[in-house]
Amino acid sequence: MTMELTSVERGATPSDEEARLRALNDTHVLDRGAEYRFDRLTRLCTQLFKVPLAYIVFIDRDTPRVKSHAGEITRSRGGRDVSFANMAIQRPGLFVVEDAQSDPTYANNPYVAGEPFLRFFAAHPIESQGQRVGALCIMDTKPRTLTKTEGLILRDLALWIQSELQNDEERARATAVHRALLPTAIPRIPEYEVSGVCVPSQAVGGDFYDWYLTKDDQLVMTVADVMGKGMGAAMVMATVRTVLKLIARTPVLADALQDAAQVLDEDLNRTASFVTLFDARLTRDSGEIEYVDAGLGLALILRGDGRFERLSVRGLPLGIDSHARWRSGYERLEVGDALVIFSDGIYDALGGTDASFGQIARALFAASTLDEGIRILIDGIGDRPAADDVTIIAVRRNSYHRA
Amino acid sequence: MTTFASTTTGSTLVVRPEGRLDLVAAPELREIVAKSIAGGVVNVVVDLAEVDFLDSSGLGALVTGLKSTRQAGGNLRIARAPEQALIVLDLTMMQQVLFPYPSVEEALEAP
Repeated sequence: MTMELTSVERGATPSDEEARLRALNDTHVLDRGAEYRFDRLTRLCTQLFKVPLAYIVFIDRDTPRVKSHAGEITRSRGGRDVSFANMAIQRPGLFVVEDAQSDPTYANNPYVAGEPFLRFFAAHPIESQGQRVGALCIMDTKPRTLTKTEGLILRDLALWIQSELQNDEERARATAVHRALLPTAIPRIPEYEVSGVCVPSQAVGGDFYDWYLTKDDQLVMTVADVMGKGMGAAMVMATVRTVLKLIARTPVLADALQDAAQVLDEDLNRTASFVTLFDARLTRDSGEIEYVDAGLGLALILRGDGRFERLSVRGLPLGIDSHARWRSGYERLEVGDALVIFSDGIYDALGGTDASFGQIARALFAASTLDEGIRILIDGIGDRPAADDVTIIAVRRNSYHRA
Repeated sequence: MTTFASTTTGSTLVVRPEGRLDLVAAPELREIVAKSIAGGVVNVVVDLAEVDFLDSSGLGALVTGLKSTRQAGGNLRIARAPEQALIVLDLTMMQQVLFPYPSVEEALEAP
């Protein structure tokens, strides 16, 4: 008869362990390199507790992985079985060993019997999704005790790391939702060339673009930018996007925008926010463009002969003035002409002056395709820190006839 | 670090931001204006002469101030906007609602 160990004796059950690894994986904390916020914390711990080494470690499937440390750390001498941090995460709460050398449970541990000859160790687990995924640890080569107050501080600092991990996850989810609201496919109209990119900055941003071909063979192209950044801007952006979708069928674009502005006015007032946007409808067969510009001001027509023009019918952003009125502007794309719309992220990166318009026009004229021109533009600003999202979309007419 | 020097005379506040008026600094300007209005100020002049960079969040703070001063029966005006701020005002068409005055005095005396 075989003896079954109870789950308490055996430690975690395999399914518990899988859930724990999933929770660790979801934090993505090990996917990133060193992070100042954690390095500052471990440095603070060495000073606060007057110990030679403090570290944050996450326990992966087979090995403990050190995320941050202050003080000299000994090279790993084995897997989880000999790891003090791993012992610390077996149960909730503080884990303290005052003198490992005089305790038979630990005396033969390679970190105690060998380098760094650890005597004192204290740790508090770090949880994510209710799983103990890692620990904040301090150690010393001299035996010592941890006072009650010190224990409370160590716990509070571990809980701070825990809340950071939770914030990271929420931010990551918001970013994923934000990305999911952007179009995935490029509209295919053989006699036109359509191209564009949106390079998001680190924070969840307020940039938004959309493009799609309607049933009536109109290509709708939109670039919008909500004031500010972060979760707040992204939430406003999602609302604006929905309203724009709803008004897409209003025949005159300026009327459509007027409706949208009215619907959004109260929300934008309450959130003390505003939105700049450019919206265009291109009729496939005629090449005619109807557009509205609500404070974006960043749209160009590139003519086939090498000239370029800024689109001049412009109005206020949404959310500035409840009585604002907008007018539609009209243009027409002949073969070789292109419409380019971009956000202030790219404009600012190019210097944010009138010359920036010429730079964009020249880059697109010089390239044989819009894709290539846009790539060259983006690569050119690549080494400057993108403080803002960078969005640029363009369409060029290549033939008068449907292919 | 953006700093704000402000002088209140009667019901008029003149505030001079120095540095970047951006995502980071905008909340402080909002708060300065909001507190002043709560304290009885109705007219605000923002002297932009020492602003290195104005972005959409900075613009947002000015607009919020404009709306609340108007609600209080007054106004918010901007003065001495540098080139970069003028470009932003032009792109966004906001010079329609935030006319850039050449001097603080003219902003104060405007009808």
